[in-house]
Amino acid sequence: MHTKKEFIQKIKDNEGIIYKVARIYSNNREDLKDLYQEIVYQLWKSYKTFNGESKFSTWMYRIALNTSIYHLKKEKKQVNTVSIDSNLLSRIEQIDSLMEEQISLLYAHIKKLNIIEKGIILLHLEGKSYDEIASITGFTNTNIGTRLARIKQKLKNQIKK
Amino acid sequence: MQSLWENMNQKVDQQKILTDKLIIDMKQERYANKLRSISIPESISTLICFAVVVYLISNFGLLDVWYLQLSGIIIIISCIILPVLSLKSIQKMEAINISKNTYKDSLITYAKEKIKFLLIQKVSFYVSFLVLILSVIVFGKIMKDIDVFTMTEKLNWLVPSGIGVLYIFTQWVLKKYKKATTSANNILKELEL
Repeated sequence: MHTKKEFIQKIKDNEGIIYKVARIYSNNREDLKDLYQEIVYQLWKSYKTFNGESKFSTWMYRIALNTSIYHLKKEKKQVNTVSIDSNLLSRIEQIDSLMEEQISLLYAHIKKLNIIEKGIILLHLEGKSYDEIASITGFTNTNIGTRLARIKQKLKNQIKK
Repeated sequence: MQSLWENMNQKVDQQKILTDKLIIDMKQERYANKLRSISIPESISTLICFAVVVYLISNFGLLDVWYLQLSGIIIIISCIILPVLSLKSIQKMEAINISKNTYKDSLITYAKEKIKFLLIQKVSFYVSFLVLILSVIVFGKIMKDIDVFTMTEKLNWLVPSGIGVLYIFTQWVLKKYKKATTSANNILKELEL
């Protein structure tokens, strides 16, 4: 039986995942805030289905990535959001402005990739093994390898420009 | 790139910003949003459509010629089918299993649903245009007892200008949806690779 307290603790332990995924799939600060909250809501809604077969973080990536895809489908209606502390959305800026600049540039390049590639490169950058990426995405290990090589080449070309 | 990402990870992981209250508030606000977003716009348009259906059925006897009756029937059918389609697509969206699907499954569902949604929207545009024209004819008869088809002088300019507007409208709709459908098809093609 999963408790509310347990869930909140797990979310707090892995809160960085929500931020990183939401930032890749959002186009502006408002959108980021909206997607961030949608991911938290979907995690909460789906928590009863978490059976512990995989790591909590792996399950969380799956929910966050899937939520981001369906978030694209929805019409951009004005929705009410909880007022989030600005620290939550600008985590790096406050620590290191130079780093934030480099990170923003990296995110800008990743955002230029197509929707399939975005998810794969995110998991790769997060240090996930081919097996883990395969279990989250549903692609085969070989396919992940081929796609990653292509994505890296694409990013290299983008950065050279 | 990898080392920059790892540096960011370290900084992000060190920061513990989410609080219990914030998580609970986000969940509650979202839940309320879902109820609001489903109930208001869809319910209003569904109510309007059903009010039109009831009005037309109760005044159907005033439509005394076959083409007026046919116009009335088309409006009634459209006003029943369009809201049902819209509510069904919302229901389908809600039924998607976010926790079981893999990223690939979700992308396939997303692309297919998008293509279907665009098709429904395209058809709805055309049907709405047709319903608008038929409404002028039917409501003109019911409310003012005017049969537009017998006003031959006005029809001489109404028909060509109607066709002109329809042509411009069609081009605009086709252009708008072609790009979006192509992008959804590209996702499906790339997933097959």
